[in-house]
Amino acid sequence: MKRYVKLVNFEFNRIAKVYAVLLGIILTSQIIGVMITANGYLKKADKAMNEDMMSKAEFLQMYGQMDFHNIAYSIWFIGPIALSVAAVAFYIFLIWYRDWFGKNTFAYRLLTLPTARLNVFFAKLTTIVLMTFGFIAFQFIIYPIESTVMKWMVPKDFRIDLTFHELTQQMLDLGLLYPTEPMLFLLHYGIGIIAVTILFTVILFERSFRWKGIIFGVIYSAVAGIVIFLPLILQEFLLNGYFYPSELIRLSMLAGVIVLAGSIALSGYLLNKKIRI
Amino acid sequence: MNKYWKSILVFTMIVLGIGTFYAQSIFASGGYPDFKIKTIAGDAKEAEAIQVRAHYSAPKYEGSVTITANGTSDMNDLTFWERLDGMINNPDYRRLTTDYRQFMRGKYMWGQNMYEDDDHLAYADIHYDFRSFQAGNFNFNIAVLDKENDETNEFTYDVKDDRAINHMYVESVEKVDDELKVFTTINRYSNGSDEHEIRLYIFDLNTQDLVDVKTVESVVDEGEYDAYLQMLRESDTLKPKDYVVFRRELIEHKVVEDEANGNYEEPHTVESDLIVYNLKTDELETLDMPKQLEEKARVNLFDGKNLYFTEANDTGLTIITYSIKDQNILHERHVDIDHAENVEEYAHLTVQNDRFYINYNQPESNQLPTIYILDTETGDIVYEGNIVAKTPADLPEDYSFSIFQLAVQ
Repeated sequence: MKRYVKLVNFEFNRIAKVYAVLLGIILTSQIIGVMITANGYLKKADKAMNEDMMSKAEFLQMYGQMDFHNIAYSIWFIGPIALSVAAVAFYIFLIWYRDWFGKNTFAYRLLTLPTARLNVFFAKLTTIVLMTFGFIAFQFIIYPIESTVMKWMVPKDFRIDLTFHELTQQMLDLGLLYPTEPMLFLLHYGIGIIAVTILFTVILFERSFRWKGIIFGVIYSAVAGIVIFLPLILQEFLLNGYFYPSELIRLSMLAGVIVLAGSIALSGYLLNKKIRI
Repeated sequence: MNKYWKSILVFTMIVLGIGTFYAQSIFASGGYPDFKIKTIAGDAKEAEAIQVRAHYSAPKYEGSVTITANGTSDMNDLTFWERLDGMINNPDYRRLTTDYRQFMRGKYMWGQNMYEDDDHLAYADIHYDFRSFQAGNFNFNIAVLDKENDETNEFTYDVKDDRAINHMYVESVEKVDDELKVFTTINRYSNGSDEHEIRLYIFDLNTQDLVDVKTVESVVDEGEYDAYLQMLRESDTLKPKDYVVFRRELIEHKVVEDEANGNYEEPHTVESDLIVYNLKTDELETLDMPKQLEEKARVNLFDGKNLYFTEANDTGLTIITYSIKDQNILHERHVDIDHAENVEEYAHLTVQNDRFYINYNQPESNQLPTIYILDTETGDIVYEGNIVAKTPADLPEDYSFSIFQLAVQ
C-alpha cells in the first residue's frame, strides 16, 4: 500500500506542472468568458434602452434575462473543458510511452522497483482518475466564483441566478461530464475507468509484442466490448425483453466489473511475464 | 510530507468539490412550488385518487410535475432505478410491474392490450417480422395470469389470411368467462382505397384454440372521402366492461381557398355513427339515440357501460350520460366553470370508478387548474377544488402551467 501511494505521488508529480497550467487556463478563460458575455449583454441593453428608446420591460421581453447558459455555450467556457478532456485522453497513452521513449529508459527502473509490477499499473490508472476528477471538482469549485463575477456585472433585474446543478440539468453535453446525480456520476465515470483499463491493456500488449501486440489488443478490446454489451445483445435477440431496464443496467455493470477484473489480470500477466524494455 | 503536498491538494479538492456538489444535489429542493389540491366544496377524500401531470415552466424550472392531493413530485423524486423502469408515466404500469413482476416481464403495455379483473390479468400483443419495408408473419402472443395460484396460461397463434396485411394491432382485450376476446385493427393499403377492418379473435382459454374470427366492421376510403374506424377509449382500459364501442366516420377533405396563406384542406365530417358490440351476447347493437345527441358534438368518453356526451359553452360544460343498456339519457348536468372560453380545448376529462372528472385550465392564463368531480350514477357534482401552491410566494410572477394527463388511481 505504501509503495502504491508513493508511486501515485511520483506519477502525479510528473504531470503536476502541466496540470496546474491547465487549471489556470480553465479559470482565466472562463472568467474572461463571463466578463465578455456579460459585457456584450449589457451593451445590447444599453443600446436598446438609450438609443432605441425601449423600456426595460420591452428589452427583457425581447432578449430575456441573462443567465449562465449564455456564458456556458461560449467558446471561452467550453473551450478549456474540451482542452482538458483532450489532455487526459492524450496522457492516457503518454503516461506509458514516456517511460519508454524518454531521455533514459525509465521503464527499466520502474519495472525493477522492489514492488509488485501491477502497482505501476494502478499508480498510472489512479493518476488518470485523479486528473479527471480534479478537473470536475475544480469546475464545481470555481463556478460560484464565476457566478459571483456575473452578479457584480449584471444588475439583479436583468439576470437569473442558476446553481451549477440547474445549469447542467438543461445542458446535455455538460450533463454528460457533470451528471446531476451521484448514480449517474458512478455510471459515467465507471464506464470511463473500464475504458481506460482496456486501453492500458492494449498499450501493454503493444509494449510486449510490438506490431503483433496491436492486433492482440484490438482483438482483446472487441472481446471486452462484447462481454460488456452481452446483456443488451441477449435481451434484444434472445430474451424478448425479459429483463426490466433497471435489471439490465445492473447486469451490464456486473459485466463491466468482469471486464475490469479481466483487464487488470491480463495487464498483470503482461507486465510480469511478457513486457519488453 | 513536503513531497506529497501536490497530490494531497488535488485529493482534497476532489473530495470537497465533488462531495459538496452531490451532497447539495441530494438535499436540493425540486425547484418547483409544492402544488396541492385544495378542496372548495365536497368531500376532500374524492380528490385522493387524482393524479395530475402537467408541464410547468418558470424562470428556474422547466419540466413535468406530478400533483396529487398530498403534494408535488417530479422525475428527480424517483430513484434512479425507478426512473429507468419508466415508473413515472403510468400509475397502472407501476402497480402491475410491482405486484406481478414476473408476469409483466417482456410485456409492452400501452393500456388497451391488457385486461384486469379481481382474479385475472390478461395480455395480448401482435408480433410481426418486418423485412424490406413490408410487415408479415403476424402472430398473437397471449398470456393470462391466474392471480390466485400465480399460474400463467401462455400461447401464440399465427394469423392466417388470404390477402396481404399491411398493419395489424390490438385494439382491446376482454375476458368473458373462459374466452379471451381480442379486437384488432387490420389495415390494407392500396392506391386510393385503403381498407380498415376491425376484426375480433375469440380464443378458448382452456384449450388455447381459436374458436371464432369475425369482422366487426370494415370500411374503405373512396375518392376524396377518408373512412375511419376508431375505438372509443374508455378511461380505464384495464377493467372489465359490457360493451366495446367504435366510431365510424366518413371525412371529406374540402379545399379552403385562402388568398393570404394559400389554400389548405379542412376535414369535414360527412357521416359519423357508433358501432356497439355486446361482449356478453357477441352481437352488434343498434343505438336508437335521441336526435339531440346525434347532432351534438362527438361523444368523448365511455366507461364500458355508459356514453358521456359533452357540450361546452361560455358558462361551462354540459355532460349528458347515455346508458347503452337502457338506450336512454340517464341525466344531463351543467357544470359552471369560470373562464370557460376554451373549455373544449383544454379540459381534461376522464371517467373512472363511477366518477366523472373534469380538470381545466388555460395554459396562457396564468391561472391554476380547477377540478370538478361528478357522480355518474346521480349526475351530482360531488367535489370542487383547485390546484394551488402550498406557499403562494413560491409561485413566480411569470410561469406557465399546462396539464397533459389526468389519471385516476
